[in-house]
Amino acid sequence: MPEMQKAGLSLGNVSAGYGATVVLEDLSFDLAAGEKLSIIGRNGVGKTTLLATIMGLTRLHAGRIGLGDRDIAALRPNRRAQAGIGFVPQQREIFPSLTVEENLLVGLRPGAWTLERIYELFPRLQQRRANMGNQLSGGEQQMLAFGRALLTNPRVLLLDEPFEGLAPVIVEQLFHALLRLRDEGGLSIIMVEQHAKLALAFAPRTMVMSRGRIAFDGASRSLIDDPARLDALCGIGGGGLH
Amino acid sequence: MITAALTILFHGLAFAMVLYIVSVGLGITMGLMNFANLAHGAFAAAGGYVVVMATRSLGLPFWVALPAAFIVVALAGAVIERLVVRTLYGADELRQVLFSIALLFMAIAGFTVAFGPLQQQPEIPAGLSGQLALGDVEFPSYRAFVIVAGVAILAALWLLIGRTRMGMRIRAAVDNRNMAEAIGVDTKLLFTLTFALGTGIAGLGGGIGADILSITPTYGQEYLVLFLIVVAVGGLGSIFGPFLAALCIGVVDVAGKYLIPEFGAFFIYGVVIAILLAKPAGLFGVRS
Repeated sequence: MPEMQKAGLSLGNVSAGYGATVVLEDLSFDLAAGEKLSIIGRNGVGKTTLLATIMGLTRLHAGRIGLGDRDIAALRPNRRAQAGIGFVPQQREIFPSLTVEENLLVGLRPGAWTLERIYELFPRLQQRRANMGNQLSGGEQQMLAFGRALLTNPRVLLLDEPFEGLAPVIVEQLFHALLRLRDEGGLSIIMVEQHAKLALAFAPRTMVMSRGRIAFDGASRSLIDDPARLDALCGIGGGGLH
Repeated sequence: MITAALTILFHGLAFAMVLYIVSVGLGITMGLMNFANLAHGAFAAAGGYVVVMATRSLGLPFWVALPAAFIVVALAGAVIERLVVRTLYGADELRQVLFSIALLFMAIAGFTVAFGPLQQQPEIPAGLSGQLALGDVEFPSYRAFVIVAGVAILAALWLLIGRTRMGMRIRAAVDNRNMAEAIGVDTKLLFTLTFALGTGIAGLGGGIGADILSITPTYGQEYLVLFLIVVAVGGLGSIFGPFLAALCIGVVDVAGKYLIPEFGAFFIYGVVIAILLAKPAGLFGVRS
């Protein structure tokens, strides 16, 4: 475990929320370098708040957030991004006053991910490089949000419901891009996702959240093989799988 | 008729450029920081006084005094942003307005003590104090310089905001501050630099425009409405919007006062109401 903490992300007894309201309660887990984790759960259980807390966008009431051997709990979001946290928010939050290429370059930091690699991963973005951020379809915006986060060359990538509101054909394209990221290794990824089927297929490890706490943390396979348990944990098992 | 039209156009353009140079920084800081800085005109007055003191008391050349005005006022803006303005980001508008009005009145009192209540004029270089002939009509050379300076500042800002990494980050932070932070942009530092830039340009505008908007202690209060109109009509966070707004207001105001002087400033306020009814966020507003 100490080696895992050195290389990856660790949360220890984290309680956090918005203002005085506590959404996450005493939450702890570790993510090894290069590890992929899916997080599922009903609406309103704190999944998005968890990612926002790691990014520094909520109020941390208690606990420790470590990246490698560094405690990042007191850092502002920009310092966390510089330390290696990449964020793809639920609403994509594309900058409308910037072109596609500017959106990609605005947070660029040196590393393995370059503009050319992003264009190779998402050729559509290269075709639309001169368009403004607000002139894109939902799928293109999601590709852009991925690309923008990757170009910060993070060590840990946080994805908040990346397939929400997208047409099935776009979901398929994006999921394949994500699988490619997964299989390339190196990058740690936490994906919050409502589509349980995609979430379980994406990462070998899945966490189920309930009322701001971790209700399950284990192998995705065990939930795929036991829909009744998945259903009991979050009501989306068996036939309810998307 | 043509002479009158040329005269109106020329003087309207010169007036417009002064309005633009002073106001553009206000639009950027209001758009980026959501901070209603009613003391913005005091920074322009400070720049005017720097140019006056540098040219009259210190005997420095006008071309040295202008950059000095920018630098001194930008540094003062950075210090005030770090010490006070920063604490008011996100505060309700009433607190921001009360703070900036207090700052404005303190500046007025300070200028009165330091420089006296009377209007001050900088020493203009000999090359700009003559007349410029355009056919049969003559125009003051200095006002031609003001027009060129306004266009040059528009071009410089366009390059800075539109073509540099810092400009890209400013636009991103105007769009969405939290997201800009989440990709590593230090918005606190960016705010300080932008506030300094905005106030520095205002200081430059105060110095350049002293011939048109005279430098008195009450400068910031007297012309505040005009600066706010330029920003409201042009749109917050925009570079080109305030330029077009200043052109409309400058030319319409000069034309109205020249052709129907008894109506005074009636026409500019008419134009303002018409534009804001048609486009509530201003001509190029990123944010209303």
